[in-house]
Amino acid sequence: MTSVYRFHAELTLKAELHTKGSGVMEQAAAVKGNDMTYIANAPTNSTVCGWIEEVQHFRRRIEGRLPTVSLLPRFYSSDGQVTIYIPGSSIKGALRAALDQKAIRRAVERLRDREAEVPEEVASELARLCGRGLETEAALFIDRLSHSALSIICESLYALQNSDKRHRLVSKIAELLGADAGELIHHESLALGLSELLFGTTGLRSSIYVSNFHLASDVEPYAKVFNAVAWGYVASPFHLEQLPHGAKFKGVIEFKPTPFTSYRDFEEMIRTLTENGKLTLQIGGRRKLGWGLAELTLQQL
Amino acid sequence: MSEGGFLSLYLYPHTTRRVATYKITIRAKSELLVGGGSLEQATTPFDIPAAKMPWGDSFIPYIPGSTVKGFLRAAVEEYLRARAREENLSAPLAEVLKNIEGEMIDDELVEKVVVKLLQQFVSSDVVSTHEIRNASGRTLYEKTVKAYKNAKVDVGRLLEEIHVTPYACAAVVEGLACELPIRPYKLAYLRAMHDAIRQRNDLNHLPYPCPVCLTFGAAGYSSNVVVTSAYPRGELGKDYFILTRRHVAIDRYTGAAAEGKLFEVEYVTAGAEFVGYLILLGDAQQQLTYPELEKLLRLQQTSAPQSYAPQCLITLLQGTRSAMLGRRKSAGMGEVEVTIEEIREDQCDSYPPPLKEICRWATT
Repeated sequence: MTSVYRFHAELTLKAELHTKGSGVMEQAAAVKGNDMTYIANAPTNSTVCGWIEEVQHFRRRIEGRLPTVSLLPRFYSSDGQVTIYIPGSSIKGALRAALDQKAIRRAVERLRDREAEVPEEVASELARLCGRGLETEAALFIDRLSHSALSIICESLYALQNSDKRHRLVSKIAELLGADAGELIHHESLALGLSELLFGTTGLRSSIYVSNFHLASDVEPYAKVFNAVAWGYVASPFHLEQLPHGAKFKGVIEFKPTPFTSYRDFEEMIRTLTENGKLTLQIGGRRKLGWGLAELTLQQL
Repeated sequence: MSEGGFLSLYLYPHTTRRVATYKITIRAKSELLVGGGSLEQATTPFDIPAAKMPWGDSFIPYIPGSTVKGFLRAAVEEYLRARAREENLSAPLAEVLKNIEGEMIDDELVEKVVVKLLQQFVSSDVVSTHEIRNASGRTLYEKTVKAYKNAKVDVGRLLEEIHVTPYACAAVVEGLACELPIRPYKLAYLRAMHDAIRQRNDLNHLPYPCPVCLTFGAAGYSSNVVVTSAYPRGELGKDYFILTRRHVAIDRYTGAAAEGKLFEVEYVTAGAEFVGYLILLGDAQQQLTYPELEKLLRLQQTSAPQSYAPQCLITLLQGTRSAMLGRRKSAGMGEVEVTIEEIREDQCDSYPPPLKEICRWATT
């Protein structure tokens, strides 16, 4: 009912994709042999039973002795329909991770040719707030785009009501790096980075809503066998269900301002993540092998 | 309604007389996870179980009445805040605090309006009520900013960003929320809010309580709506399912799965339909016209009776279609379609229990 910026979003795969689902069919596909007792105690002819039979059929098609297969996530409807999808949490996580990565890259640039050590006063402040034994060097990798490096080691500091403590700490880090506080803080009063401001932190809701993304192209998923080899051991094959390059997913992304965020913040995120006119994300597993590369396009509604 | 001064009271005497009954249908468009409490935690192995109610020798998922009521209240509040801002019927809290000076600044006002609000952002031990009162400055705004500045915290921008309006109070902060009887310190705050809004809009009197509190209740004033829990239509395992999904949090620094952050959630499948009822109490014949409310709600074209404020708000909610409900709603879950229709009777016998019983009670 209020001013919400809604975008039709399309995700086009630029490489193969595998991400692991954990629903009924996905669990049934991961069970060794035919022992379904862990999955469901469903009466025969029920919808759940039908889903499991479909999985068994799929496994038999790969090879007769029911191999375990890591299936893509399935979206289950109350009418029994099952479709392949990418959960909104995965896309939202990928967007946030991309922003966090940019921040870390900028922080690394800032630290180049500079010997920076976390001063005792910052380390002791962190220890006082979050306990000893922290990797305090992570505090040097914050940027106005994201404070993920610091928030991950000191979660309680990123509860909204600790803005004074954050401010004090970040000012000291800025001083150490010879940087302006504005280079490390996006929202001055809350002492937060853009990522925390947009995606939320304890006490501050997310301004970004990402729907589930449903498979929108006519491509069929396929299963491929891989071999994990450890020296001296028997090779152990495993099957992954994948989608090929070119598969498209559709969903909706919304920006809903809070009293502390405006559309400008959302625009800044999109601008930051766009390189050569393309917003590229990486989703799912085996990302180090180049899998899961996908291009996201947004069209305002 | 009492007239005179800057404040107008809009109060209906409490009654259990029914004005209208509405049927609320909530249809899940994506996975729906309305989190359960300790009973569900104790009876399921999942980290975030769905709300379920014991029924016979089993459990059925449901949406508690408090969740449905909170969802409706939040939708109205959000809408009215945004509209009040568009129509210059709200003001930044900074401007309100600038209108409070001299003897108006007492301990209770500082504690409940300023300190309680800023505790949401700044550690509670940074600045005390006493320090704000004794800080230099003429107005409460100047004193607040100065006291926090002494503690090296700049709250000026925050106070500018937070807007207050007499049409939807900030119910989470005691000093900013509607309350009856009105405490003396709150009169000072309300007068200051009126003065701040008068700089933008020629609103003669500040209406009190806000229409949201008048409808859904406030401290010292009972709600004029009764909202039941919403129960599923159809049969579990046939018409809808309760399934689970495993999630893992990614360490945003290393990019790998975070240790100890694997969790399993339980949800109701998309397509499940829940039905609940809203009973509007009061006397629709009472002619209390909230100033500007009709404009804010943009209800001119509808045929609904416009004088009974709670009914106006329910009429507004009837325009809601797509909404978000429950947990993990910023990450794909909780997309729902809501239909609110006024009913005189319903097909109670066609519903499964316990919906059947609730339906009979609501439509009697």
